[in-house]
Amino acid sequence: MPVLSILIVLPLVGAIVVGLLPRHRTELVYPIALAMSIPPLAAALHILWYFNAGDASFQFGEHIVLVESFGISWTLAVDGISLFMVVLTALLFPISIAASHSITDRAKTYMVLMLILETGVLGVFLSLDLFVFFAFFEIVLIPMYLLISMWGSENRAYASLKFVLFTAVGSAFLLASIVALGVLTGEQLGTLVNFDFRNMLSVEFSSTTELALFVGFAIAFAIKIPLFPFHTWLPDAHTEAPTAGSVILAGVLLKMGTYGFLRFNLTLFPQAAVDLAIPLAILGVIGIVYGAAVAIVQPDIKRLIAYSSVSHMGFIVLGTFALTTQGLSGSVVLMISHGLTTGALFLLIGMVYERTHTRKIADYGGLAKVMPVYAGIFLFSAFASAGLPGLSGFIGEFTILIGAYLSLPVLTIIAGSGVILAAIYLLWAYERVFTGPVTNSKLEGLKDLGFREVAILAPLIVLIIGIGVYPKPVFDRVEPSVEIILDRIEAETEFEVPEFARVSDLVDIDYEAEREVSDHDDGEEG
Amino acid sequence: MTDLLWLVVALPLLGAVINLLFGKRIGEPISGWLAFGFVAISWAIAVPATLSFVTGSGHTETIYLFSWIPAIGVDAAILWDPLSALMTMIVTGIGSLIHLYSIGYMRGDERYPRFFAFMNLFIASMMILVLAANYAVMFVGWELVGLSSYLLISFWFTKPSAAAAGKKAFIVNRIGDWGFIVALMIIFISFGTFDFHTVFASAPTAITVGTATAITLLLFVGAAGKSAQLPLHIWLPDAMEGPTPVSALIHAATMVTAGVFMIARSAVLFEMAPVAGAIVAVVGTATALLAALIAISQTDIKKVLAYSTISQLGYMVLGVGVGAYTAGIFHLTTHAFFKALLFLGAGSVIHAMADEQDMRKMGGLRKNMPITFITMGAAWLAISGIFPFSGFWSKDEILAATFAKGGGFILLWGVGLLVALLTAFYMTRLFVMTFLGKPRWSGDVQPHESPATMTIPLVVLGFFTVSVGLINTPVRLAFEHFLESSFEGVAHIEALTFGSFSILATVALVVAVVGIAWAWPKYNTDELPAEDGKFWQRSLLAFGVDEIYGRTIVAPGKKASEWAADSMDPKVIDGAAHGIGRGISGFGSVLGKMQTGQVRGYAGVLAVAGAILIIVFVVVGGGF
Amino acid sequence: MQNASFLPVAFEVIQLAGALLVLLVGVIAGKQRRVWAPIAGVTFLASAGAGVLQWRAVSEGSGGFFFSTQELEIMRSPMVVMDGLSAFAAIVLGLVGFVALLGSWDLVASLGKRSSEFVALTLLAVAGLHMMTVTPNLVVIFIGLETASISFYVLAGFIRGSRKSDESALKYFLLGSLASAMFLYGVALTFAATGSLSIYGVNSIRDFFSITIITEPGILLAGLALMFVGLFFKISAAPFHQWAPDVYQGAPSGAVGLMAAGVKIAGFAALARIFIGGFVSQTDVWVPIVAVVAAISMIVGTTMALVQTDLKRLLAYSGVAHSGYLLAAMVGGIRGIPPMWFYVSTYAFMIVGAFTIVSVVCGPASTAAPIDSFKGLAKRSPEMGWLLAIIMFGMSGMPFFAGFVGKVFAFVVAGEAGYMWLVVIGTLTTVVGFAFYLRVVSGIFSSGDDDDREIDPSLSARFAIVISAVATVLFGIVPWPLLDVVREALPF
Repeated sequence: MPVLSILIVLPLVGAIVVGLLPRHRTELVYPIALAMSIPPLAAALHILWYFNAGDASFQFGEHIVLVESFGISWTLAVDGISLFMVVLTALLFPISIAASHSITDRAKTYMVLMLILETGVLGVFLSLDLFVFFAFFEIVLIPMYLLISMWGSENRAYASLKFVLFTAVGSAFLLASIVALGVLTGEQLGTLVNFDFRNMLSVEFSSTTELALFVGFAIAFAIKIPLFPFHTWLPDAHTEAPTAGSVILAGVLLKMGTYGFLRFNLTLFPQAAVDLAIPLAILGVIGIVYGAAVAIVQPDIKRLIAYSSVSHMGFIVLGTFALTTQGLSGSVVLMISHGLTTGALFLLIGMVYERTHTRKIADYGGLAKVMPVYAGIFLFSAFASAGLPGLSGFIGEFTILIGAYLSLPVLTIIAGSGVILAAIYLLWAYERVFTGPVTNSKLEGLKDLGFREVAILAPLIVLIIGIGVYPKPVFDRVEPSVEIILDRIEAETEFEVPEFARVSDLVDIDYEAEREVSDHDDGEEG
Repeated sequence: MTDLLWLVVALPLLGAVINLLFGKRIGEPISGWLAFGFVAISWAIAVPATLSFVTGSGHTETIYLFSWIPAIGVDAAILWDPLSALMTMIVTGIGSLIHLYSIGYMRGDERYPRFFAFMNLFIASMMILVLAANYAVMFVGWELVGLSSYLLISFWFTKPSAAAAGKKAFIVNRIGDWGFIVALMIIFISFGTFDFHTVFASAPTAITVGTATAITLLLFVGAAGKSAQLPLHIWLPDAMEGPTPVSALIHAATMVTAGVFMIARSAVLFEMAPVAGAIVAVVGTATALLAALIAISQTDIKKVLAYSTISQLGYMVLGVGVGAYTAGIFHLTTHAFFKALLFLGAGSVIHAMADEQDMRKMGGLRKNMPITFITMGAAWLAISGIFPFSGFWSKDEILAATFAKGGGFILLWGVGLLVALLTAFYMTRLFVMTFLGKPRWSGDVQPHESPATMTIPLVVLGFFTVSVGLINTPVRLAFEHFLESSFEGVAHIEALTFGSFSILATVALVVAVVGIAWAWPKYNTDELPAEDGKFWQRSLLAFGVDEIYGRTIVAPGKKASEWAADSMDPKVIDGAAHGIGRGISGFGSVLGKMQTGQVRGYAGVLAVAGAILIIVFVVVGGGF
Repeated sequence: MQNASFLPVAFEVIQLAGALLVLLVGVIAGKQRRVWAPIAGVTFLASAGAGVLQWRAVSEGSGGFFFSTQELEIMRSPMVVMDGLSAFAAIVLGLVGFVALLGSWDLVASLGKRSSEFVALTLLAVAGLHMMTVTPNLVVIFIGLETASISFYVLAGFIRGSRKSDESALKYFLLGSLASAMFLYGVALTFAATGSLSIYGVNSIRDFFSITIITEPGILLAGLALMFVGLFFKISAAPFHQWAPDVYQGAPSGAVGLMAAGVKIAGFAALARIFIGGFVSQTDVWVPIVAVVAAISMIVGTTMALVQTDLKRLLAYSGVAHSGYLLAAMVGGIRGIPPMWFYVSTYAFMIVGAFTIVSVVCGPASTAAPIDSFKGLAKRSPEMGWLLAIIMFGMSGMPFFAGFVGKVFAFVVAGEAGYMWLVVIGTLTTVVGFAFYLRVVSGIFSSGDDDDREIDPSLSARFAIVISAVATVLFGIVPWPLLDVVREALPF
C-alpha cells in the first residue's frame, strides 16, 4: 500500500471536500475541515507505529518515474529524521484547524488553504526526488502567503510579501543548485538529468562545485530556518499571521530549513559541510544570543515568541553543524520540541487575542488572576520553551549542547548563555502579562479557557512532558538515521566525528549488569 | 528496602499532580493534609533504608530506573548512599513538618490547594536532586527546584514585588546553571558519562588537575547561584516575598543548601583541584561576612533571617571549600533545623501580628506566644553557637578545619570568627527586638499563639535544634562515620587534637557570648537605639549591590537589546533588504527612462541593438 | 509522399475560408453578428482539429515535405513541412485562437458593424502565425510574419477615435515594419551566403552546411543576426521589446490577449524551426548570443514590470521576461524544444486569460488598466479574483501551476548546456517576479476602496478565463500528458 502517497493526498482530498461544501452551509466548514485533518494524522501514526526502530535505511519507499526524459520521479520514503517531522506536521494541523474556530470570514477558503498547506509540508518531508521536493518546498509559500495576507492583522500586506520574497530568494539559489545537481547526477549516470536523491549520493564533485552547491542549498535553508541575519521576515510574518498560521509557521515551516540541512547539505556535500560547519555554527550561535536578546525588549508578545524561535533554531543549527551524533540527534529532538512548545505558545496567544484583540504586552497585567488555567498552561509552555528539564525542550537543547561541546567548545559555551536569556525574556513577559494587579479594566471578567481550548492544548502538553520524561523512543528512531549521515561524512572526508572519552569500561560497575537485565526485560515486554 | 525508593520522588509528584488538577474540588484543608501525607509517607519509606546505614547493614547502591537520554547515555537512576539518605531525611522530614505547619499557616488563602501542589512539586524536585545517580539527573532536580522556588516565591503574584522576586530568583539561578551546564559539558567530554560512580572512580586517572579545576569552578558557579554565594546572592533576600513556610523550607533548610550538597557530592573532583577549593573557601567566607554585615541592620524579621541564611551558607561553602565535607554537611544539617525553626517561628510571629514583618513594631511578644518564644530562643542560641546547642558543634567543626589547614586559611578562620560575632549580635538583636522589651505594636493587633498544626512543628524542630549537634562531637564522631562511605577516596583532614579543638571552641564560644552581650543591652530597652549612621544605612540597603548590577549589567544589556531590536533589525538588516529591493526598482525606473514613447527613440534602439547583434555575431562566429 | 494532400495546409485553408465567410456574412447579414460568431468559433476549432489530424499523420510516419518546386523523387525546396512542430503549433494556435475569441467577444460585441472585420482579421492573423511554423522556406516565413503582423497592426488601432489606440497602431506598424525589413534583409543575406532559402531538401541550407566549410562567414553571420533581430522583435525579447508595453496598453484590452499569445507561439516555433532546425551546425555561434539576450530579457522584463502601475504594461514587461525564460530553453537546442512548447502553450492560455480579465474589469475597449482598479477584486467578484490570482501564480512560476514546469525545464536544459549563470539569473529574476505578481494578488484580496460595483462578466469571457485558469492549474499538477505530447513536437 503506498501509504506515503496516501498520506500526502489525504489533506488534498480534505481540501476538495471542504471546497465542495455548499456555499450557504457555513456551519459545516469547521467540523468537516477538522474531520478531514484527522485521517492524515491517522496515516502518520500508522507510519510511526510500523516504523522499524533501529533501522537507518529509508522505509515505506515508493518510486514511480514521472518524466523519464527529465529524470523526475515520485520517490517517497521516511527515515528517522523525516518520520518525526511528518508526525509533527500531521499533529499540528488538526490542532491549528481546531484552534481556528473563530475564523468566520471566508472560512471555507481558509480551511481549504490550511489543508493544501498540509499537503505541501508533508510533501517536503517525504520527497526524495529533488525536483518534487523543490516543488513542495515552494508551493508552501502560496497558502501561507494567502493565510497571512487574507486573515492577518493591520500590516499583513507588507509582512506576507516579505515572507514570500525572503524565502523565494533562498529558493532561487536552491533551484539553481538543484538544477546543477540534477545535471551532474545525470552525467554521472549516463542519462540527461536525474533528480533522484539516492542517485545523487554517488556523484563526485570538484571541490568548488561542491562548495557552490552547498552554499546554494544553505542560503535557502538558512532563510527558511531563519538563521541570523536572514531572520527579519519571521517576526513580521508571525505578528501578522492568524493564530493557526503562526502555529504552522513556527511548528513545521521553519523545520523545513533545518530538515533540509540535515537531509541535503550534510548528506550530499560532506566535504563542504565539514569546511563550512564553523561559519554556520557561528551564525547559529549569534542567532541564539541575538534572537534571545531582541526578544527581551519586544513590546508585542507574538514578536517576542518569534524572536525566541530565532534563538531556538540557532540551537538546532549549532547541533547540526557540530557534526556529532549527539548534536544531530539533539537537533531533531529540539525540532520536535520547538514545534510543540512554540505551537502551544502561539495557540495560547491566539486564544487570549480572540478575547482582547491586543497582543501588546503593555495592555496586559494581572491576567493570571482573571484566567488562572490559562496562566498555568502559558507558564508551563514558557518553561518548556525555556528548556526546563523534564520537558521536551531540555532534552533537545541539552543533548545539542553536550554534543556540540565536543567539536565546538567555545561556541557552545556561548550558546549555553541562551538558557539565561530564555529565562529572562519568558519570565519577564510572563511577569508583565500575568502578574501584579489587574490594571486594564478590559481584562476584568474575561472567561478562562473553555473545554475546547484546553482539549486543543492537551495533546501538546502531554507530548511535551512525554518526550521530556521518556525520549528514548524518539532517540531510538532518530539516532540510526543520524549516524549514517555522519558515517558518510567520515567516509567521504578527512573529518573524524569526535568521540567522547569512554572511561566506563575502565571501571567495573555492577549496576551495568543490572541495567542489561532491565534492558532485557524491556525487550521482552516489547 | 531500596526497591521502593523511587516512590520518594513519585509520591510527592503524584500529590502535586492531584492537587494541581483536582485541588479545587478537594478543597481546603483536605488538599493540605493530602500533600502532607504524601511527603510523610515518602519520609517513612526512606527511614528504614537510612537506618540501615546507621546500623551498618546498608551499602551504597545505584538503582537503575529507565534509560532517559540514550543519545548521551543518561539513565534515570538513584544513588542511595549515606549522603543522599541524610538529605532525604532532612528534606522529607523537615518538609513534612513544614507541610503540617502550612496547613494552618495558609488557611483561608484562595489558592490553598495550588500552594500544596507547588510544595509537593518542590519536595519531588529536591528528591530528584539529592537522589540522582548522575550529574544530568541532578541537574534536572536542580532546575526543577528552581521552578518550584519560582512558583512559590511569586505565589502571591498579584503583588508586583512577589512576581518580580520570583523572576529574579529564577534568572539569577539560571546564571549559575549556565556554569553548571558548561561543567556538565566538560564532564561528559572527559568521562563520556555523567554517572557519579564512574566519574569519581576514574577521575584521578582520567582527567588532569587543570580539567578538574575547570569542572569544579564551573560547578561552583552553579552552586553559587543556588546557594546564594557572592556575587549571585542577590535573589535570596527578595525571595522572602514568598509565604513564610516557603522561606523556611526552600530558602533556608533545603534548596539553598543544594549547592553545598553538590560540592560535597563532587568531593573527589574538588579534592583534585586545590586551587578551586581555595577559591570556594574564600568566596564562602566573603559571603558569610558580607551577609552578616547586612543582617545586622535589617528591620524586616524575614530579611534578617534571609541574610543570616546567606551568611550560614557561606560557612557551609567555606567548610566544603577547605575540604571539610563532613563538617559542611553537618552544618547543613544543623542549620536546616534551626533555620527552619527560626523561619517558622518568624512566620508564627508574622501570623500573630497580622502580617507585620517590621521588628520595630514588635517587642514583648514572649507573653503572647510562649511556645514560639521558647522554641525560637533555642534556635537563637543554636545559630549563635552557644554550647551545647547544635550550631555550636557544626560551626566549630568548620572553623577548626579551616584553622587546621593553616597558611592563608588562618585569615579565613579569623573572618569566620568575626562572622560568628556578628551572627550572635544580629540574632540577639532579632530575638530581643521581637520577644523582649515593651510591645511596640498598635492597639488593634492582637497577638496570639498559633494553632497546633503550627506549634507542633516548632516543638519538634526545637527538639532537634537542641539535640542534633550531639551526633557529631569530637568525642563521638557518629555523623562522620555515617557519611564515611560517601566520601570514600577523599583525603581526611588531619584531625586536631582534642586539646587544640577545645581551645578553638572556647575562642568561638567567647566570641559568641561577646556578640550576645553586646547586643542584649543595646536592644533590650524601651527606646530602640537609632541606627542611622552611614554604615547602617548602607548596610540596610545591602551595600547597593542590586543597584550596581542594575547600572553595570541590566541597563547596558537592555540598551544593547533595544539597539538590536530598534536599529539592527529594522535599519541594518531590513534596510539592506529594502535597499536591494529599491535598487532593483530603481534600475527598473532608470530603464523606464528609455521608454519615452517616441517611435524615433525606439527605432534607434532597435537599429543600434541590431547593429550590435550583427557585430557580435560576426566576432563570435568569425572563427568557424 | 502524398503531395496532393490537403492536410499539410489545412490550417491555413480553413482559416482563410473562415475569414472570407465571416466577411461575406458580415456584408449580407449586416449587424447579425450572431450568425458569424459560430462561424469564427467553428473555424478555430476546425483548425485545431486539422492540427490533431496532422499530428496523427505525423506520428503515423506520414509527415514530411510538400509542395516542392519540382516534382522529383528527392525533395527540392519544399514549401510546406508537416512535422511535430507544425502540427502541434496548429493545435495550440487553434485552441488559443478560440479561447482568445471567446475572451474578446465583449469587445467584438461593442464594435457593431465593424465586428465582422475584427473577427476576420483575427482569423487571418492566426493563419499567418501558423504559416510561420509550417514552412521551411524563409520567404514564406516572412510572408506569414507579415500576414499576421499587418492584421495585428490593424487590430491594435481598431478602436476608432481613440488617440491611444491610433498611436499604438502606428507605433506598432512603424517599428514592426522596421523589424520585418531587417528580417527580410537577413533572409536575403542568408540566401546570398548559402544559395538557398529552404531549410530542408536538396541544396537546402542544411545540405549546404553538410558539404561546405565556410571560410568567410561574415555575410551569413550578418544574415543570421538580422533574422534574429526580426524574430526577437516579434517575441519582444529585450532590448527589442520597447514597442510592446506601449502597444499592449494602447490596443483594446480584448484584442491584446491574442496578440501577445499568438506571436509568442509562432515566433518561438519559427525560431526553433530556423535555428534549431536549420542552423544546428552553427549552434556554437548563436547559442551564446541567445543566452545573453535571454538574460537581458529576464532582467529588463522583471525590473521594468516591478515599477509598473498599469496591469497591461506589467503584463507586457512580464512577457519580455517570459521571452527570456523561453530563450533559455532554446539555449538547450533540440532538447529545449519540448520545454519551450510546454512553456509557451501554457503561457498563451494564461496571458489570454489575464487580458480577458483586464477587459472584464476595465472594459473591453479600455486602454488603461491601473493595478489599483483590481484592488478588492475578490470582494467584488470572488470568482474573478481567484481566477486572476491563479493566473498570476501560474505566471510567477509557482509549483503546481503550469508556469513552474516549463520554467524549471527550461532552466534544466540551459543547465545541461552548461549555462548555469543563466539559470541563476533566471531563478533570481523569478523571485523579483514574485514581487510584482504578488502585488497584484495582494491587491485582489485587500479590502479595496469604495469601488464595489458588481462585476458580471459575460458567459463567453467567463468561459475563456475559466479555461485558461483550469489549464494553468491542470498542467501544473498533471503536466505529464502535455509533456508526453511536446516531446514529439519537434522539427525535422
